[in-house]
Parts: sequence; C-alpha cells; structure tokens
Amino acid sequence: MTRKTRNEVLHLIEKATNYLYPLRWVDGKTTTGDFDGREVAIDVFFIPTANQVDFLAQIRPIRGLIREMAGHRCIFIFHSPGATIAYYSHLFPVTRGLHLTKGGGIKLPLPVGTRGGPVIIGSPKVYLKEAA
Amino acid sequence: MSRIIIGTNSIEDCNTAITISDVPLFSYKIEQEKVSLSFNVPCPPATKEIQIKDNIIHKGEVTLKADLDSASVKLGNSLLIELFVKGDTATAQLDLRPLGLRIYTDSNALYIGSSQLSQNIIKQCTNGIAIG
Repeated sequence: MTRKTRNEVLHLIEKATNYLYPLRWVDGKTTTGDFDGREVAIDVFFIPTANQVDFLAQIRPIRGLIREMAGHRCIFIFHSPGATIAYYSHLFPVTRGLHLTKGGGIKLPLPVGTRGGPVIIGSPKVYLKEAA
Repeated sequence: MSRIIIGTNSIEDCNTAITISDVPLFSYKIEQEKVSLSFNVPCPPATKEIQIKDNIIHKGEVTLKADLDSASVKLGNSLLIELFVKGDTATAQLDLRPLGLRIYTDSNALYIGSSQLSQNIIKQCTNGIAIG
C-alpha cells in the first residue's frame, strides 16, 4: 500500500467519523507486540469504550472501499482516553506557554494521522514558560 | 499593533497568522465600517478549495456574513471561520474539518492534527503558524 493510499484511507475514516478521533496506521516502532494483520491495523485514539460500536457503525458504509484500497480487511485497535494519555502521549504534543519573538514562527506538518509535532523555525528569541 | 487570538494563542504583529501549504489562511481589514475578510484554503490538502478576497467569494460554495465587528464563513451549516474584531484585536474561531483538514479551535486550544497549541504568544514573526 502506498503512502498516498494509506493517507486516503485515514482521510476517509476521519471524514466518516467527523474527525472525532485521531487515527494512525500502526507504527513499527511505537506499537508493541506482534499480531497478524499488523500491516493493515489502524490505531484509534481517545475513544471511550462506549463509543467503539458507534465508530464501527459510522464506518460501515465505507468498509468495502477501505478493504479494496488496503487490499485486506483493516483491523482497528481502540485506545481509550486514559490509555492514550498513559501510553501514547508522545504522539499528541502540547505546546503551551511559549513566548516566541522575531523568528519564523511555528511550523507543523499537514494534519494527517499522528505524525510530526511543532517545530520552531528561524532564530527566534524564545521564552519558555511551560511546555509539555 | 495587531493581535489575533486563536484558540487562546496570541499572534501579534506577524505578516500572516496562519498559512496552509504557504497560502495565508485569513486576513482582515476594516473598510467602510465593516470587517473585510480574506480567507483561502488550498486544495489539496483540503478536499475543497475556498478563495475569498475582501468579502468577495471567488471559489467555494460558501456563505459569508460580515458586519461592523465580525465576519464568518459557512459551508452549508458548518462554520469554517468566525472572526470578532475589537480595536486592534481579532478573535478567530476556526474549524476546517468539513474541508478534510483536522484543524480547529475550541475554548482551550488550537488543534492541528495531533498537536495542540494553547496560551502561546507569537510575536513579530514572518508566519505565526505555518502548516505543511
């Protein structure tokens, strides 16, 4: 599956679920454990247990298309808000209390999946009050 | 001084507040006692292109409302941007999810993909926040 196709699949699911939950394809480095279908598995973050059935219902109309694009049925791995914060907080950078003067500003990647965090560009004067 | 508050972040005296793929997302001026909004969302990365210059819609099936201290753009019933101007400060609320971009604000933060920015001050930078 090409990177473009992988991004398109995520876009389709995000749209079908009204962008409620961050998604990503399972990552070789940070998703631990080995299981069948790793290459077609999608992490769904910040999803309360009670909403998992709704999520599957929302994507039902596009499951056939996703299967066609991915070449296989996708596996969804649900992470509750508590589990996301406990084990995957590194994927969700929070930039808070930064005081940035005379630089290039803050650069972020296009919002697809969970890749990339903010990068400060140029040679700014930075006052970091609090950042996580 | 000009200041734009977006998702509790303050962007002050920057050439552009936010760019997406090097396209300035929005700007405003006061003309004939009315807010004049320019709002541009490039496609790709968005699923639909929107071009509004000085309250004139050039591209996109959107509706625009502007009065003496606010302006807003809607796609169907979805509010894409709402701007309130008071003195030299504009407060912007943003939600580009209907355009396929996970970029939105709430009362706490600006969310761009999996990143969250809150209570930052970005001053005298070329671009406040550059996405993509």
